[in-house]
Amino acid sequence: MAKYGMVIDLDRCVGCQACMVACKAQWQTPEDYFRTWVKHIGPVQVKDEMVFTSYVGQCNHCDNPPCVPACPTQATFKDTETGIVLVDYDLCIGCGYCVEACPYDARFINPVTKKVEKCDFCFPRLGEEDPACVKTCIVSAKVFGDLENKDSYISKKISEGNTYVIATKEINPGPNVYYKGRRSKVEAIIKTYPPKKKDTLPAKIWSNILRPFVILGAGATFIGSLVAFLFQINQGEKEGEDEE
Amino acid sequence: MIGPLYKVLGWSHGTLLIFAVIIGFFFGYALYRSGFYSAKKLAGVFYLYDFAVYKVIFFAIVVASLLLWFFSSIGLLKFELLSFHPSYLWSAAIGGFIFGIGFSIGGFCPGTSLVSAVTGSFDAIAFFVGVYLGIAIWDLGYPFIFKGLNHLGKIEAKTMMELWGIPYIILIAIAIVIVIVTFPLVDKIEKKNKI
Amino acid sequence: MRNELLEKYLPLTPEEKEELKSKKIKKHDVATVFLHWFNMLVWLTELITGAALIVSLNYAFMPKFFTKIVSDIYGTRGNIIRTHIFVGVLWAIVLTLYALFGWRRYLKPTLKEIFGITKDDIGWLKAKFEEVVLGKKVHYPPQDAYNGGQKLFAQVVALMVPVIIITGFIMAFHLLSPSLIRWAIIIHFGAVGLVVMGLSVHIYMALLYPPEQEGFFGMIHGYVSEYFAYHHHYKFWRKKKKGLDKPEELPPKKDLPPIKAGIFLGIVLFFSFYLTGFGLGSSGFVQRTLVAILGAFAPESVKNHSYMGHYWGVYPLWNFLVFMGLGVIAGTLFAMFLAHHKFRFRIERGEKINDFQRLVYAVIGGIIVGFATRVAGGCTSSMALSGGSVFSPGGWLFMIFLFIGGYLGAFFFRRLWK
Repeated sequence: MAKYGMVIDLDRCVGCQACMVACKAQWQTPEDYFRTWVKHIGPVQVKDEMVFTSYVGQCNHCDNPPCVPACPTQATFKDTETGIVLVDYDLCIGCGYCVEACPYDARFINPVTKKVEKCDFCFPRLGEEDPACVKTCIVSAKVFGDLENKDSYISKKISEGNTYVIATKEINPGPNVYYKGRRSKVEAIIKTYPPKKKDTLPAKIWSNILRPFVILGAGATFIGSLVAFLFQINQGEKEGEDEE
Repeated sequence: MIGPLYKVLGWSHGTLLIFAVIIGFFFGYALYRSGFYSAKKLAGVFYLYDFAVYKVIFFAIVVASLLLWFFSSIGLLKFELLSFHPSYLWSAAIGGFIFGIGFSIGGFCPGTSLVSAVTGSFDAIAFFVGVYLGIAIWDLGYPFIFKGLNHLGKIEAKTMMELWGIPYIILIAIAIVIVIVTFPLVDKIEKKNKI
Repeated sequence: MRNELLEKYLPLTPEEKEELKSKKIKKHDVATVFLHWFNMLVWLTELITGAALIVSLNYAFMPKFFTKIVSDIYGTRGNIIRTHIFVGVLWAIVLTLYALFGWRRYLKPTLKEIFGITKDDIGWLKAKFEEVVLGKKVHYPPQDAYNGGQKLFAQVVALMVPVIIITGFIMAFHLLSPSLIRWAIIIHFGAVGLVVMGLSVHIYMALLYPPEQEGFFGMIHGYVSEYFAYHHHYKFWRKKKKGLDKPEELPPKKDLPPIKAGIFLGIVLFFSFYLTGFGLGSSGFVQRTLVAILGAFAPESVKNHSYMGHYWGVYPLWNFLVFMGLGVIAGTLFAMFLAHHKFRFRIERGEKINDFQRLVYAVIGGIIVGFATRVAGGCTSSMALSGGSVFSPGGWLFMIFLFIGGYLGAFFFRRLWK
C-alpha cells in the first residue's frame, strides 16, 4: 500500500514550461492537449498583496475523485495499491462525463483515440524513475513520492509546512498534489482558476429522472410478476381452460 | 463542406469504415440493378450480344468525372487529396490483358462475382473461389517468381492531366465524345448479335 | 364445426372443442422462432454483461457481488465490454439481415400487426387490468395473432431496439462527439430499462402463467392447437381459416437500362471520392480477407511477407475495402429484394457445355482474373472505374487492354458462351 502524491514548489518554479514539454514528449498528446500545464498568473490582488505566480497543474489524484463515480463503466478508477487515479482504456467509451466532473479540468478526450487522457504520474515508469515532468524540472520544483511513507523526501517536504492544496470549503475532493510557497500564491491560483463543481445535463437527467424510473419500473414489474406467481401457486394449478 | 471529408475533417478510422459499408451498399445496389448478377449479361460484351458492361462503365466514368471536376472547380473538393493508384503502365497493361482473358472465360470480374454469388449463382461462387486461388498463387509465389511484375513501367504522373498537361475537362470531353460516337455503334452490333 | 364460428366468437360445443383440440395451426414461421430464441440468448448475454459494466456509484443498479461474479467469469472487465460489443454487433447484423431479407415476408406484416391497435386490444388491456388488479371476472374481446399485451410489449421492443443499436454503436465506436456519447449512454440505459420492464411480464406470462403455456411451446415448434388459437387469438384463427393471410406476390422488376445504371454508379463513385477520398474497389476485399485467413495460421510469416505484409496494417480486416465488401453484400440483397427477385441457386452457362464444365471454367477464369488483379494492382472497380474517372494513365491502359484481352479470349473461348 502506498499513496503517491506530489509537491510543487511555487517559490522555486520559474514557469519555464519544461515539464509541459517533457510530458508531451512522454505521452505524445495531440497538438492542443496537455496532461500537465503551466499557466502564468497575475497580477492578482490577494488581500493586500499583488501576486505573480505560475499555476503548475495536473490531475490531483484526489482521495474522493469526482471523476470516478461519474464514469458509467468505471474505466476511471482509483488504484488501491498506489492511490493513483487511472484509466482502463479497454473500458473507456469516450463519453467525457469525467471530463465534465473534474473540478480542475485535468482531463481531455484525445481526438485521435477518442478516449480520455490525463496525468497518471507516469504510471508505467512507477518504481523505476520519477515522472517525466519531475525528472526534467530544472529547478527541482516538482517532488514526487509516497505520502504514506513518513521517511520519504516528499513527506519531509510537506512536514516543513507552507503546503496547501487547491480546494475551497465547498469543493474539496482531497487533492494529493500539494503546493508549497507563500499562501497568497495558492490563493491567487484558486481565485483565477477556481475548482468547479459541474453536472452535465444528461447526467442530471439520468440520476434524477431516468434511473429512479428504470429501477422502480423494472422492480415493480418484476415484483408484480412474482406476486402474481405466488397467488397462482396459492390458488393451485388450474387446467389451462379459461372458459368464458 | 470541402471534401474529401475523411481527410479534410479528420474522421476516425471507425467512421471511415461505416462510410465504407454505406458506399458499398449503394455500390452493390448499383451493380445488381445493372443486371451484373448474370454472367451471361457480363460476358455479352465480349461476345457482342450485350454491351451493358461497356455502357455502364463508361457512363459511370463520365458522370463521376464530371461531378469530380465540377466540385473541385467550385472549390468543394480538394482533388489532390484523393487517393490515386500509382502508375505502373506496363503492369496495368499486362494485368488488364490477362484480366480480359480471364473475364471472357469466367464471365465475371471480382466485384460482380461477389454480387452474383450472394444471389445464389454457383458459377459466381466458383469464380469467386477462383479469385481467391489466383490471388493466393500470386501472394505465395511473389517472393520467388512474380516479384516486380506489378511494378513495371513506373511513371511519376498519377493522372493524365499531370502527364500531358491537359485540363481535366478536356479529357472528360474526349470521353464524352467517345461515348457519343461508340454508343450507337455498339447498339447496332448488339442488335445484330442478339440471341 | 359450425360455420357461424367463422363469423362470430361463440362458446364451443364439447365435440367442437375436441375437434379443435386435435388440430394444429401454424402460428410462427421458422424465421420468427429462430429470431425469438436468438434474441433471447443475445439479451441474456447483453443484460448480464451490460449490468456488470455499469458499476460506478452514479449509475450502478446491480449489487456489487453480481458485478464481481461476472468479472470473475470473464477474467477482466475489458473482456466483458468486448463481449458486450461483439455480441451486440452480431445481433445488429442479424437483425439487419432479417430486416433486409424478410422485410416483405416477415417484418412488414409483423410491424403492421403490432402497430395496428384496435379497440379490442385496448379492451383486452382494460380487461386484464380489471382481472389482475381489481380481481373482477372479465370477458376478453377477440384478439389478433398477438393480444393487446403482447402488442404493447412488441411495440416497446420494436421502437427501442433501433434506439439501443444506434446508441450502442455510438458508444462502442466513439462516434460523433463526446457530448453525443453522453446522451447515447443514458438513452441506451433508458431504452433497455423500458424493454426489461416488459420483459419480466413477458417471461412470467410465457413460462408460468398456465393459460398461455401452449403459446410458449408454439414459439418452439411454430404450431398451436386450433383450440388455443380460437380461444386466445380468435381473429387470427378466423383469418387463417378463411385463408386471408397469404402475402401477395409482386412481379420481378427488369434491370435498369445501362445509361440509368451508369449514372447511378457514377454518382456512387463520386460520393465515395467526395466522402472518403478513396474510390470503389473489390479485389482488395479478397486480398485482405485472404491475408486475414492465412494470417490466422501463420501471423508472423504473413506480417513479414514481402507482398502480403503490406496488406496487414493494424489488422487486415479493419479495412475500407473489406467493409465496402460487406456493404456490397447487403446492398445486393437489398436490391434483389426491392426488385422482387427470388433468391435461387443456379448455374448460368452457354448451351454447349454442361454444368460441371461451366464451374471448372469459372474457377479457371477466377484464378486468371485474381492473378491479373495483383499484376495490375486492382480490378475493374478500382482500376477501370475509380482510376478511369480521375483519368489515371494506368486505369485507362488497364481498361483498354482488358477489352483487347477480352476480345482475344472471346475468340478462343466462344464455345463456352454461344
